[in-house]
Amino acid sequence: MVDECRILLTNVVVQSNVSDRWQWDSNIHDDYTVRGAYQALTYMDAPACDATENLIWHKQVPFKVSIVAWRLLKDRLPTKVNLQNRGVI
Amino acid sequence: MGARKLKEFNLALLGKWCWRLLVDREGFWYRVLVARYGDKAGWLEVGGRSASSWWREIAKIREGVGELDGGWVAERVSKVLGDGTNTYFWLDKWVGDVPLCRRFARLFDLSINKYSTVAEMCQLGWEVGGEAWSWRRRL
Repeated sequence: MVDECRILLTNVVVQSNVSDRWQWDSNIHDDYTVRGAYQALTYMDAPACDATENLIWHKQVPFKVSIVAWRLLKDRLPTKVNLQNRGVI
Repeated sequence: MGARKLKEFNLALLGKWCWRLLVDREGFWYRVLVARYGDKAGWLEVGGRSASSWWREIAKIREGVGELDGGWVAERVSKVLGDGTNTYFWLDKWVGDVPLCRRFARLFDLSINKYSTVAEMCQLGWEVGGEAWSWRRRL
């Protein structure tokens, strides 16, 4: 495992006199723009959300089942972990 | 008609806060938040339940806690390496697509240099047998 990690580092060159800097999205080599972020968000979110929503809020699914499924996906079920996070137990 | 999806547009606007808090370290709001909540490995601390709800909301967008669409800021930003004094070897995403602490989770777990910068690790030496590879116990 160390070898695998070391291989990653073989081409790394540390340049003195150049500061490290943050980069937004290495695919576009760009600064943050609200327009770009909005486009990325609408592009990636749409299919995943819609698919589950149509299944959960289906006419033939009993309401109580819809609610449990919705709480599950949102991680809002009163599990031990969630109760601990909220300081209940 | 130029109507927008409000939820995503709101996220995109709030995301700019996350970005600015990373890059604009001289800025007023960074200085306020770092004085109030502190900084760990280059990221502002979230600050627990007593933190301002505005700041918790921003932190949630940054790291994503239990939300389907959270965490996309941390996913997208990366470090471009210069002298390595400001990049955390294990914690920042600077080589490859994920931080080394995630890619080599077991090594990170055993490392005694969890908060070392790339410059420090390079100086220790990451060649075979280099001192950068120091572990809590024998591998």
